Amino acid sequence: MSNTDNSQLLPLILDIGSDTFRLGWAGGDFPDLIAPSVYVHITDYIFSSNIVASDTIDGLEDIFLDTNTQTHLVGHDALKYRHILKIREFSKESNYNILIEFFNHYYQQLNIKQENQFKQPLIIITPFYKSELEKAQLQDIFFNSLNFPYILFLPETQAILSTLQKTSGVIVNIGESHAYISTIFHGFTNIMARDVFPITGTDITEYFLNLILSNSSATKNLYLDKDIAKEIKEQISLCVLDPNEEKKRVKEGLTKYDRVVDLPDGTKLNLNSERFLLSEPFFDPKIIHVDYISIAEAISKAVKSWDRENWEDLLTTIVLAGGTSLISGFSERLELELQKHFSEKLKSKIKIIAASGRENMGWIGASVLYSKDELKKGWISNPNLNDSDLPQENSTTS
Amino acid sequence: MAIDLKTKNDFLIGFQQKVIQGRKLLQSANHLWADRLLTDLYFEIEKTEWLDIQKKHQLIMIISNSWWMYINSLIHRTEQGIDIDFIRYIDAYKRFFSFLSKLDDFYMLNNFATTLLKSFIKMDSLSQTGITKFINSFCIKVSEREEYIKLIELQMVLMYLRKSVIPQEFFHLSMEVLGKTIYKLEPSKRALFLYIFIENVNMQYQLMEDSEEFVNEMNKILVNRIPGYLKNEFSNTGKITINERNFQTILSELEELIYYMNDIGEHTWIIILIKNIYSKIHAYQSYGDAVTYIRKFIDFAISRNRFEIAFDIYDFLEDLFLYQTDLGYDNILIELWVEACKKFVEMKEKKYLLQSLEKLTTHLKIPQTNAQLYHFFYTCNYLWKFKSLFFSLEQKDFWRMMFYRALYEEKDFDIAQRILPYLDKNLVGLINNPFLLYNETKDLERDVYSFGEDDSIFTGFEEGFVIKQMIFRINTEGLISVRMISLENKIVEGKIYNEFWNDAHLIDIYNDIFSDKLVKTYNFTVNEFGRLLYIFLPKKIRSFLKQFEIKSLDIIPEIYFILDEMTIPFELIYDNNFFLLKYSIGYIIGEPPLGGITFGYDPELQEDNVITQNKYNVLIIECTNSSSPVRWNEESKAKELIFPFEAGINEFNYVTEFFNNREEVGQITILVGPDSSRDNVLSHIKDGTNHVIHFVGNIFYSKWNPWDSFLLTNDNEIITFNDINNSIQSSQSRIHPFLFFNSQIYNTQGKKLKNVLRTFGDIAENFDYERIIGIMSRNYPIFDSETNEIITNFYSNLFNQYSQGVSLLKARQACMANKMTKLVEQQFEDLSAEDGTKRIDLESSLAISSYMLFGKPWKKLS
Repeated sequence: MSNTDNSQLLPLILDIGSDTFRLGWAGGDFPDLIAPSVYVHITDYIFSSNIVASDTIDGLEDIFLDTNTQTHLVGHDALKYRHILKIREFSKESNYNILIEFFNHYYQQLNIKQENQFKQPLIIITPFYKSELEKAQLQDIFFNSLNFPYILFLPETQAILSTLQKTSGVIVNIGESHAYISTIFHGFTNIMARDVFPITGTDITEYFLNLILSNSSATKNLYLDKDIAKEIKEQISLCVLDPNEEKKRVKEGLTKYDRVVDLPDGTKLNLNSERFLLSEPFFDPKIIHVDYISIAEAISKAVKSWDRENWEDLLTTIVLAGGTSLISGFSERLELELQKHFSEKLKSKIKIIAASGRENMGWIGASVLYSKDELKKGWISNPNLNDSDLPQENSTTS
Repeated sequence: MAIDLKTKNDFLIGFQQKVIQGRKLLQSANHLWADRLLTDLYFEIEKTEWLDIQKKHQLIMIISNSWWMYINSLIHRTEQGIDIDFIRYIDAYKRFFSFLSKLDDFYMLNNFATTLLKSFIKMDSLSQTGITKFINSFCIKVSEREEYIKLIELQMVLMYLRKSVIPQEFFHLSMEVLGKTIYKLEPSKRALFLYIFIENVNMQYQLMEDSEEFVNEMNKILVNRIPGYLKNEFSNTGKITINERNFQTILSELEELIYYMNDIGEHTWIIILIKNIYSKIHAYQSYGDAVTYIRKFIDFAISRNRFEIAFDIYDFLEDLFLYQTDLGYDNILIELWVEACKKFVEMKEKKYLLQSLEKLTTHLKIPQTNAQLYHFFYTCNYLWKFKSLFFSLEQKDFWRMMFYRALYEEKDFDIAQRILPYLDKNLVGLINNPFLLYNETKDLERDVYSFGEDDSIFTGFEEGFVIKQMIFRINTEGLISVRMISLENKIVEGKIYNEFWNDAHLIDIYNDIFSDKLVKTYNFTVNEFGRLLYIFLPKKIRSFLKQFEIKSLDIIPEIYFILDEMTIPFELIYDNNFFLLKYSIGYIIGEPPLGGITFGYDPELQEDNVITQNKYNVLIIECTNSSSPVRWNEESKAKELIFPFEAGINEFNYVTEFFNNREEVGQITILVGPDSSRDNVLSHIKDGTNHVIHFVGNIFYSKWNPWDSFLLTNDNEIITFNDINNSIQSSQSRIHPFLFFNSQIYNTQGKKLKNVLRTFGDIAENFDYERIIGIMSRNYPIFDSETNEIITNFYSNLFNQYSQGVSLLKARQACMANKMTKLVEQQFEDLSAEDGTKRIDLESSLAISSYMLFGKPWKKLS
């Protein structure tokens, strides 16, 4: 982060993911701040919500906490209390009041001088499914409540492709709460060639939880919740090429997939085939009772929405993004599944790009685009400010 | 419920690990998982049947301490003041209270919540909403437990803090309870009672400086809300003034009230009056007078079985004494709770004994001076007796008690020195030499507290009372009864109460010493173990045995033990004088027969014995499974026996040879190999022609029904002990056989059992002792020259018309004499001139103690 006055007026890139919030100076290699998109209300105890009131002695919140000064904690501060207070996700709730609080909290951590505060142009990364209404609300917050001078809504797909210096490709972004497939051909998008995929990281976590619970009926007092299942999933999830065969081998005594997970209470959880079965809903959504085509078919449909001669260009750049795509072996399996939908000639052209650090790909791509001076167009200026109050528009470029 | 040590250890290790894990989770702010873990652990403790109430309580205390320590760790004292992470603090408190409210014991929840409430009262700006919620939710818990006095107190505190009344459920309920109680009193006493009650709320919660003012304040707050039925009583409190001048009159009125309330069954209110009297006497007279005065209500409460009042008074006294002392080892507090425990033990009151023991243990800190060490061990000896009533005892309790008895009661410095390594490490560090400690502290015996107990258990002992027979009945209810018969058939009886037999630790040591383990946990010789066993006996019995020794040198007294359960052989007791070589000992396990025990010989039998027997029939039954069952051994590539019994086979051969050469043996039947079939064995037993039935074989013990334990015959059938007993009972013969079992014991899963005393005791318990002379068993399947000698001598004595007890005793004596001669010769050879005289210490032997007699020791072969 630069501390010179000029550098403090550079644009800021903001990526408000449902799981993670990223903020940083345009032109940087990596977001300056990455924080979980969560908050807590300081009196919203998990304990109270789980039990009948008469189980304990009440009133302590009113006696000890001063709710006049602070009612919420956000991001990492909130996460510290994840086993005490109920964790809420403002992005999923579309809670814009908390978004302001959240943004402010982290904005202050950029150590911007008082005179430069809220004077930076903002680049907000938006996935294609973000509605105009939502964009308008964000605009309202950043212009009316915080008084930023300019906003640019940058499509996430464009940002992601720019990191690879490509103009054509398929983006497969699988996040915790959203998953989508989007295609760009020589910089052009096609509304027919994109899709919101109905299975996300959250669904996988739930399915994983069900798998464990249905397999460990004999274990007494096994406590598992979504949070812990998510943590385990992130550590040990896999995707294999032939799950049925592997499952059979596990039954026959294959120990390759055996993992013992220590739960917080010291109990041991033995896992094997659950590790790879958890990712199967992507390839067969009916497993979790979702009536939809597989992710491979969804991708092929998106590709096939373009003219046949363009397919090859698209298939050579299938970019994985989003935290849930980090499942080990996912790209190989996806490639295998995709091959089933294309001719022999095209099969060999299919190339899945699974870059490391792909969870931050959108933000990095935006920064790259900014550095390459390719973000000249599309800026919206704050209507509340006079022209004289607005910084020179060329300051938004490097 | 008997449970093996490994299960116990595994449970405790698991418990420890989970508590550590729980504490780690708390420190990392993972309340959710810590709560799950600790609550599950609590439920696990509750449903573990073999844990006694005290152990459960201890373990639960460890869990609640984990919460309490964590809560305190959240308070950080900084230069700016106190810094608390309130989010964690509040959640931890909520979960802690939730945990405490799951417990049966309301005491802890009450204490912690009350302490927190008192801290709120001191706060500058207290949230009215918060304190109302707090007190009202506390009231829910209080009313669930029907602790109505507490409920009224809490409502009064709430009214005072809010300066108003919330006319809701708890207010109405508290007024109703107060009204009901007041209306049981005569009108002239009502206002005084109410005044004292309100005053007490003020004193307890320290709300205002002046109690009289507080009563007026409460009247003002309540003025428009007092229910009609209490209006007069409340307004009359305004007329009451208590001062030094009128206190004596008030005191007599209060005393009258205490007695009256007890009579009408409203005793729960009495403690309030007692505390109030204390504060008044303290204010108008002195602290000493006040303490002495309220102490008299302890006996008042105990004698009327109002144990909660007695406990409350002790608890109150503890608070008073705590202010007077520092945090070190405190004799006064210890003696206070020893006294409380003693009173509850006498009344067999479990709940308050447990709480008092908890208090006593808390105060029984590691002593620092020699005088404190004496006081400490002296108290531990009491603690052992108190705990023995209901609770299991820990290793440290056992060794502390044993150290005291060895050093101060028996002055056995050697054994005290040997016990030393087993005491707690921080105690060992303080005791360099038990002998020096004894010399420095022996005079303290005169000044230490005591309860005026008398060591003698017998009255009616006359000069020249020479004991012929003695019967000891030791039951699990804390009663030891002794009956003695002199040579002149005079009978003296005595009882020892509240001596609870709790020998689990001795059994541990016993099993360790007598196991074939190469590395032993306990480093004691058989002789030392005998001394431990002797020291373990209640002091009264030890004193008696000392007295008994002198008067009975010229005859062989018979001792007959009746035990609920066979645990340790008393033959092993070593009182520096070879206990086992002086008495003939027999046992009966379980209940004595309904018709009582006839000492000496039944007239009918004596008549029979007019025809002197000189030929005896012997039946030898071999079930050593020496040819089957077998299993394949892959290593040796051969079949091997599953239950080999080499020593048994050797003894079988030896005994057969022995009986063959005895003139007294008329007919000898040997069932061996294919002859030892189920039908054959039972028909021979039923035959009733044999005077001696000698079994050699493996016993398979059924823990669910010991009576169905069995021998595996050579035709692969089983014979249960029930079968054997039935065969004997169904026999028409007048011959009552003597049974001998040389056996090794397996469980039904085929695992060899170590603690064979208890298992064989369970089996022997069920025999019909009216139809047999007795049972001899072998605890250790050893076969050597000593066991040869004992068997030979025993049977020879038995055939020579000695009683079975005396036959065994004489066989042992002969064996020991032989051994002694060899030892003396050896020791004299080693003796150097410089050494001068040398004490020859004769070790006991496994062979001697491996024979035990079940049945009346005075019976002879019929």
